[in-house]
Amino acid sequence: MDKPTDGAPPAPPEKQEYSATVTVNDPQGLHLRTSKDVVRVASQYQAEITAQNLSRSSGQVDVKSILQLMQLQARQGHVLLLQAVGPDAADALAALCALFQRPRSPISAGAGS
Amino acid sequence: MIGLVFVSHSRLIADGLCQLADQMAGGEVKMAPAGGLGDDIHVLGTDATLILAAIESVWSEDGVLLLVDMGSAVMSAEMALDFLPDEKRRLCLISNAPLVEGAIVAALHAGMGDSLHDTNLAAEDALNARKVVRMAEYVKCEM
Repeated sequence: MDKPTDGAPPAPPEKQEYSATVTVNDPQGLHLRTSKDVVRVASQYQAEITAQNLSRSSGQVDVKSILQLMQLQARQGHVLLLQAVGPDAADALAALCALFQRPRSPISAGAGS
Repeated sequence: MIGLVFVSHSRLIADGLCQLADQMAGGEVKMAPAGGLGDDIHVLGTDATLILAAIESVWSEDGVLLLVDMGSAVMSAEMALDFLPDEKRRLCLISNAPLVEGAIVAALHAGMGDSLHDTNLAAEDALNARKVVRMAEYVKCEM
C-alpha cells in the first residue's frame, strides 16, 4: 500500500477500502438463513460492501440486500470476494469474515444442532 | 418496529409464510397471517374481516405493511383499511412486492428496525430480482 509522500495531506478516513476472500463452508451453501445473518451484520456498518462469487464469475452484488446475496448462488466451497469502502470498511470486513468462518451446525443435522 | 400482515387466498400459504418470515426476523417482528375464507382451512378466498383482525393484532405506531398475493387479496386488503379510523389507516401500506420474496425481505428489514417506507422499498425491490441467469440471455445480448 502506498504511503502518502511528505507534505501530502493524509488520506481522509472515509476513503478506506478493503477486500478479502472467504470460502463458503456451509454444506448447504450460502442459503436464505445464513444470508439473513450476513445482511444483519453488514447493515451495522456505513461502508458500502459488495460480494462477488469468484467460483461462478458472478457480478458484484450488494451484501446488504438479501435478494442480491441469493443471486450469488454460492455453494459449499465457492470463494467470494468481499469489498468494502467507507469509514468503517475494515471493521465491516472483519465482522463478515468472522461470520463466514463460524462453524456451521445445519438444522438438518438433527438432534443437538 | 413495524408490523406485518400476509394476505393470501390460501390459509396454508399465509400461515407458512409467517413461519418462514418469522425465522428471517429472528422472532422480533409482530406478524400475522390473513389467509383463506371461513373456518375450513382448505377454502380459498380472502376476507376483509380477517385482514382487519390481523392488522389490529400486529398494530404498531410505526405502521403496518400488508403483503398480498393478487386480485381480490388487494381489494379485501383495501376494504379492511376502509374499516380502520383515519389515524390508523394512514399508517398502513399495501405493498406491491411479490408475496413470498416480499415477506422474507420485509421481515428481515422490519427486524432491523427499518421504517415502514424503507421496509416496503426493500420488499418491492423483489419485483426486479433475478433468481437465475440463463446462458440464453448472454447469447441474446450478442445477437
